[in-house]
Amino acid sequence: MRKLSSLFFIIALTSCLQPVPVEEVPVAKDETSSATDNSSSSDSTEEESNVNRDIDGGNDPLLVYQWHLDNYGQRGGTSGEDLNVMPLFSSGKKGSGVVVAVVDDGLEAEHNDLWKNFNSDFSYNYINFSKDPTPASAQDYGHGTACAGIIAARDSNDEGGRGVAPRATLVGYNLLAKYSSINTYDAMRRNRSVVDVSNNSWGPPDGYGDLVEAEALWMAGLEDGLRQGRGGKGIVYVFAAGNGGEIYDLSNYDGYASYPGVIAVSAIGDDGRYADYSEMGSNIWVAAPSEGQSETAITTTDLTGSARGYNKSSLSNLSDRDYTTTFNGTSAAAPMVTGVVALMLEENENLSYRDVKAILAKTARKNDPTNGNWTTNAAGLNINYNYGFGAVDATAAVNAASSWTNLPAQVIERWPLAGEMASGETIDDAGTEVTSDIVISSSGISEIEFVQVEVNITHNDWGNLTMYLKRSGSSTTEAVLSLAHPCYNSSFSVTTCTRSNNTYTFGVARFLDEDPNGTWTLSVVDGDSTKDGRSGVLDSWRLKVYGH
Amino acid sequence: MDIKFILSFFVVTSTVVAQDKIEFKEHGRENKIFVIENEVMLHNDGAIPTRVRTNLRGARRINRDDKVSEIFADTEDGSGRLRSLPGGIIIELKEGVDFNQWASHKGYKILRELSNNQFMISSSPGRKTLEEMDAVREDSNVKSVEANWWTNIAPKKAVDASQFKRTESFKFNRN
Repeated sequence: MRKLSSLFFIIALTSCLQPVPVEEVPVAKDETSSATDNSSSSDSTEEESNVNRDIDGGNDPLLVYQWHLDNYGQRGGTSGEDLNVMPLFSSGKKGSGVVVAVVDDGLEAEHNDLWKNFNSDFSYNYINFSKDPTPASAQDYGHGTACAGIIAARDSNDEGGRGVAPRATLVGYNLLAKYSSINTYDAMRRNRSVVDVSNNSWGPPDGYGDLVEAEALWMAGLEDGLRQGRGGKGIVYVFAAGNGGEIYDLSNYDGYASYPGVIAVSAIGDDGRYADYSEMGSNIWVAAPSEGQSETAITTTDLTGSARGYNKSSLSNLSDRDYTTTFNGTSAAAPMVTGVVALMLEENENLSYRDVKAILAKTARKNDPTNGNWTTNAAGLNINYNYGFGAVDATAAVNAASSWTNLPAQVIERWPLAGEMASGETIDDAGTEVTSDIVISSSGISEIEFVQVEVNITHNDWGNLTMYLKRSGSSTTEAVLSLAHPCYNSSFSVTTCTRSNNTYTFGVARFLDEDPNGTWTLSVVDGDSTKDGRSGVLDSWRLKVYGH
Repeated sequence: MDIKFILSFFVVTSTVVAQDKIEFKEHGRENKIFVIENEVMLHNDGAIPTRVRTNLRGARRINRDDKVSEIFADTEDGSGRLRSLPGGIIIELKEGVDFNQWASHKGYKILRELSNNQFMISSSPGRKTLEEMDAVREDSNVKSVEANWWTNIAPKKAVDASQFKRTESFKFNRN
């Protein structure tokens, strides 16, 4: 029986996937010129007019727009505020042999600037069970195609721009078009012996303020990819940090971007400063380019033609509707890092996912150096709630990868050693601080990689709560877990942040390389200035420390 | 049975109202969700899930070929994570139990195999999945059981902050 859905007021589930309005961007006067293409000579020996699909012998006409690759102020930004990837292109490093899975709403396999890097053998369509993740003609799902272009749009082919790793292999899984527990489990571990990097520019909807735990099956799939993927070295998972920054949403409240093993990426603009929408968080690992406060967004691939995608004929943008200059969000920042990881793995395929994370942190650049959120942790690493360990630096990361000594085996410890640290203290509405200590001594870990903090709290409005975790040893490092904030319902009205259960697990990056021995103090306070009469109880909490 | 259906009389001015409260076990913890009134999710094989504003009975009558599920929220006013149940129960059996034999004996249809002792069986869409889950959980051969949820996931594109009715009593210092 045919559906009579037209009789209903249909809200497409995927209304959240509609493209954002595009900005007015002047078309380049000479789109065939390539002022900054420093690619290797083997790529540029063919005639520029050669559009034979079997030969890469041309330019990347939109490269001039791609300030994230080479920012020399061409779009009003600050020179040098980019990925620092051009020196790698000059030496022929483009991600060859590295397989990147784009887990998204689809990927247009036959796009002129993607097809040559696309591999159908390992791609998957969760709607029709085929190996073609191209969105159906009725679907205006251009997000995954835009992410794919940032990662690995083909270079030197007389088409569009180029990706950060323009010779990496792309596979696409259209998970967002058919999301379910079983499919997210599958998407995290599919082709685990083949896939090197997994790009995930998605997560719980932003801005609503809810603390959303990751699904158990997503965790199971991801853990499988970390432990078994790439011959035991682990798939490298990159996630967008989130875009609710203007509405006081923290990335800490996103259980996916806060999960151990995940690289959470925040967004910076072409001035090197945080994008207003980019969420802060103790879980942020690194920052990468996207549309920032100057509102100069990212140029990348778009769904082919004028009917779909971000660059439609009814709105002014590039004259070539197969590309857009308006892609933004931490959605755009995550694939930047994914591309950089592909370059690192091309340089050194023996890196584990933990090595990749460590290198990214230690080679990150201290961008926006006057920002007051910069601090130094007890291990001497710069850290910032906006930027994590800083802006990703592709050349520094690849150079470090080439001579990197792999980390020793990972050790995971739960503290207290048995059970949870019971508290039972009342969190009153007057703002009295409640604290609870866990003392770690004789830990088998000398250098922390990541910390998870599980809190069990009975409270009718978690949005009232401000929580900090502090480690006091030879010096002190502090991590904000939550700040008093509003939650919103589906009508965008302020509501209470009610949790369906009384527990949440935060992820903290800020203690990287520190010695876990010392006193860890959890502080909880009702930080809501409105005094709504609500009180609660800190029932218990515990730590899980990852390190070596 | 772990599931309890409780009629709540909570009234909100929001356009979204959730009344039926469902309590169930998830990962060993008590959990609760609320059924959003007059909205359902169609989970048709071969199609994108579609959220439809109608009542459950009407949707099931008209969309007989579809898997129709209620939409659930964490709270009475429809806030928090939105979820629905397209059908499917994921089961992990204890070591040494042959799942083919076990499923055959139980009459379960295996939809997908995840590993040697983990697989998904079919179940009715919607809240009935939670009831069927409880029956599976009682089996002594079962190590863990969970529902195959659809949940609201979105691309991380920039959010239009202007639509949120902001309050200035909260302020984060970014600088």
